[in-house]
Amino acid sequence: MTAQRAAEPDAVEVSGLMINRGRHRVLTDLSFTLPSGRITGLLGPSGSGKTTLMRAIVGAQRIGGGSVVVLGRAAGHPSLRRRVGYMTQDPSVYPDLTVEANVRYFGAMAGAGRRDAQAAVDAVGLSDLRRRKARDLSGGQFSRVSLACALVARPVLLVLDEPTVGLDPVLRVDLWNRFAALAAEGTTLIISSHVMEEAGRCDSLLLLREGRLLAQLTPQELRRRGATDDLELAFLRLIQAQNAGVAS
Amino acid sequence: MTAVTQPAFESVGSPLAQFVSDGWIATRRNLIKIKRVPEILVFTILQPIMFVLLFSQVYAGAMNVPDYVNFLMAGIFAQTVIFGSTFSGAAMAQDLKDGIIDRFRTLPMSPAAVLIGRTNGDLVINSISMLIMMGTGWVVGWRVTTSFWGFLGGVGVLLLFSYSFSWVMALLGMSVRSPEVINNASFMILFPLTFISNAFVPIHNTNPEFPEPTAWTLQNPIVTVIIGIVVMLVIFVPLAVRKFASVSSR
Repeated sequence: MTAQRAAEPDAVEVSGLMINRGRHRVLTDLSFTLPSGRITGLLGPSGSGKTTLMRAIVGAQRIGGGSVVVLGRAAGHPSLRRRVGYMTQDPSVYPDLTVEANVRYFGAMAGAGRRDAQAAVDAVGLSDLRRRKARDLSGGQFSRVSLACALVARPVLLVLDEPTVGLDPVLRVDLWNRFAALAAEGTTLIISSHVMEEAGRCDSLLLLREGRLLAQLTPQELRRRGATDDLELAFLRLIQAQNAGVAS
Repeated sequence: MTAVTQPAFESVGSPLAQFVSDGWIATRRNLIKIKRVPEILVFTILQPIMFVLLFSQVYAGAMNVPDYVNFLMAGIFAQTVIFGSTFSGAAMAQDLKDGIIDRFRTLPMSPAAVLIGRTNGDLVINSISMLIMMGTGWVVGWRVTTSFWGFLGGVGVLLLFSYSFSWVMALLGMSVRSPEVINNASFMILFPLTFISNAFVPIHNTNPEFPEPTAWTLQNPIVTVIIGIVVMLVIFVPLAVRKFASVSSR
């Protein structure tokens, strides 16, 4: 199975990526590749550039240098729009539409029908609220509508910006099981989070700090390098080790 | 294990079919919004009633214009549909702020669809407020003095004018990026303009020493408006579509 996966082309190849916003450099010389059919966790403190990197991958961000290749094409290429799904950090849905109408609206723009919309609503656990207007939902429910809108077109690459923020532990486990099932079917997922315990559910991790790539490793490697089972502590130790390295 | 590398949904046909389909979907969304956010419709209806009553009842006596109501109504019609067109600006700014345009840009849809839907929404709002204004105008003594076809033509020119102005506002909305700013800015620009123009007061009435204007535009109002419509559409439709394809929420 591993050999079969290795034969597949990489889903995302980033090299020398630079992004500036105004005079600030938001991302500095990022280079990495992400294999297909895996869950990659994008982790780092807030302000580390996670959202900017995701925007660059879906092609919604002007880049200052380097390249981002997604499924063999430059990021943002029109042919990718059928294959890439994006959930923005702010729930980008219409508050005056019902749950199902939102999902059907964004689905229809991608050619998905009513049944696909219903499947996406079921997938995020909002079946009972499908006729409720989005503005009458709680924060966590609202963001799940946004997630359903990203799932509805069944993209090959799913880029999810903090999809589990504001969700209770039961739902969070539910969604991570859903993500694992999607990955098992061959979908590539890139998921940002600042909850380190979620990192354990990922196949590999990209650790970002102040716009630089601190490390790309598996959760097991992170535990080993940090000499602890606590992923959060391991991440902190990694940062401290790097700071010490810079200082000496 | 079968790898999912192909898209689940293929294109729905020719680019034109896709454009019509996406545009229709976006239009429907905007019609639902009118129904779901009734405040929009309430103010759309109240504002023209207020203007018709204020000007016809409060100012008419001081105007010294024979048959002022019939003079006034043309100006009120124009002012109201222009203000109605600012909804597109505010809505595009809001979509941009909410990250909805970022999401649209990752979808395989026609880049003009959202703009078409939004401007069509304005057209519906403006058609409704036209009907309200006509009713209110009729109550205060406004009467159609031209032929039926002349009347329909006038309504058509007004709606087309407001439609092309919606595209200008949509571009502005994506440029200023804030729904609050677009509302204030458009009011600051449009309100003085309607007062400087001959919408409410004949030009030679505002200053008796001013010679009766003979500008070509005043003598050929219909042609002038149609030229304005064409110029706005030719310039601002492509600009707005291009802006939509390149604008980013950050």
